[in-house]
Amino acid sequence: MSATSTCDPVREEEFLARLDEGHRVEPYEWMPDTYRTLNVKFIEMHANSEIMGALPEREWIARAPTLKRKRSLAAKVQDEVGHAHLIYRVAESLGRPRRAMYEDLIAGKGRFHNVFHYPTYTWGDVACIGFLVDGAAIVTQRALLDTSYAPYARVMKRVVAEESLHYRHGEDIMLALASGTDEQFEMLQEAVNRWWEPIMHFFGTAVPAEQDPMIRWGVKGRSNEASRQEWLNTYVPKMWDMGIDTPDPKLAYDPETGWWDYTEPDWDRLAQIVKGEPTEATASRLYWRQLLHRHHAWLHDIILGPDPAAAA
Amino acid sequence: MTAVDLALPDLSTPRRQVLLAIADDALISGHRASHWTGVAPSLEEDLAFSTIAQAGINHADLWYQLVLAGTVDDVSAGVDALGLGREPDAYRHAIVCERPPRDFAYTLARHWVLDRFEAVRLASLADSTDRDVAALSVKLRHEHRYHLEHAQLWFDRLVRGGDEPAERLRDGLAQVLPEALGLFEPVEAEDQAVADGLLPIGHTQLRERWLESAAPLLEQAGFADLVPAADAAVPDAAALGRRGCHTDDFVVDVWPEMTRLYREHPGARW
Repeated sequence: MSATSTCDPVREEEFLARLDEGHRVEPYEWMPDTYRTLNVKFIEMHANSEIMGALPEREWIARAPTLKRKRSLAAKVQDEVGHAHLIYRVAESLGRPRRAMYEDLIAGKGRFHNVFHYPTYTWGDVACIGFLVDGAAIVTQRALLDTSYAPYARVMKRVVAEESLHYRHGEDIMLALASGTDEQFEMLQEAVNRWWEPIMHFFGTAVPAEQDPMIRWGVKGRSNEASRQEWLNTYVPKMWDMGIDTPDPKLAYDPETGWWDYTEPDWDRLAQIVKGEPTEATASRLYWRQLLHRHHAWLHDIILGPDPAAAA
Repeated sequence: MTAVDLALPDLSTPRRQVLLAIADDALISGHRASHWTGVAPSLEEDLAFSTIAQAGINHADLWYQLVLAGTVDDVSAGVDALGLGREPDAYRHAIVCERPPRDFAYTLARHWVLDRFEAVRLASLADSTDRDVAALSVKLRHEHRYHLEHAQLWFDRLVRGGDEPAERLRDGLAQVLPEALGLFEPVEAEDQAVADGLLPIGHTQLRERWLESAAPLLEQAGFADLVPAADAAVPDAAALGRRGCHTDDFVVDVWPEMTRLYREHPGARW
């Protein structure tokens, strides 16, 4: 593939026009560099997030309060790793080797969602991650069913179907705590207070759809704010029904606009979390991951075949 | 300490001691397998060990249900009282199950050894005179076949994977095999369970069957020197798990973490 063939302005215009008509792109089709790069960036971050999202919850498999929860949490975290497995394959179809993505992630060079940088303190965090954080992920993932890169859209169908089981898993844990002892309720409320801002951050700033390249190039179908509003509209009433206080005093539904008003989260803090020094939780999770990875260098060639970089 | 107002049946009967040994082996090895979820050396093995962990936890649950068999109204509370509510010295798993996962070679070596053991135990339990025990064993054998295949696949991969992988597997087996002899120690009053036909072949005799199944594979792989002698004694460090003696790997590591949340909230629903 020569440089000129992927930077052809006329073909690029035609490509964009076909995207606008709803065309879905297969890996063997011609595509502009920008399209490929944006998709790889987005899809790799999605797969990384599935891996890093497994780590905070995995800490609780060993501590789960019943055998049923122990089993279902192990199954749920396994699903997340399975999603990473599928999604890395999609990124591979765009030319980025899985081994490189995986090694970048372990080396701390891969990007992933903000919500997976935080520590967990109690079983209340497991409830919040399972219901509210996963709920936020479901909202954004459902919007990806219409993504323009065909292999990604196909994989997302399966991922979204599994996520709806996770929704039940999270809701069940949340309801048990909300209807449990005073201590259990308090455990839950404290966790909701901790997770509120990270979830508001999760959807990103309210960048207008027409200024978002991910939307222009058909990666995402919907604006950050539309996703945030859908989450608020779905999950806030559920929390209120359970008797949980939402920690934002300004939070209110405006029947005139049909939108929720809320306190703008601290966006500098988000930038700090995702772009600054790793949080203590991330540093420690990556440290263990790196250690385990290094100790198993002798296995990597058996598993993945020889490193293409080393062989070249 | 049972955390709930729940009268568990007398656990000291031969039947319940045998079933607890089977259930506790599954729970504790499943718990240890879950260590790899999210951190295994490959995504595929992450998925595999998560499945193995779930199977262990699930099988333990099913065996605990047979321990309870009609003695409690709330079966799931009873299962949790058994799985998470006993003191460390009431657990009957063999000590090899409680050892930490160490590296992946040790994990694979233990997986191979435990699964070959479980295969012979389940095969014999399928002939139990206790119909519930026989039926459950038949059911679990189907599922267990995949664990055996997975364990054997990795055994072969490491044996043929070059010097270092084969050497690491050898080191893992050298640690596991002597301690695995603790699997074949009898539980309290096991003779009675054998006489009743509940346990058609006692743990001590299962050792011969296990050796018949494992020794040829070890020999073919060049590990003949690691095959335990027919009369080899269980090392002291791995003995008496079936009688409730456990090492710090369980008493200080697994047990507190696994049971703390359950114990801190007596009677709570989760």
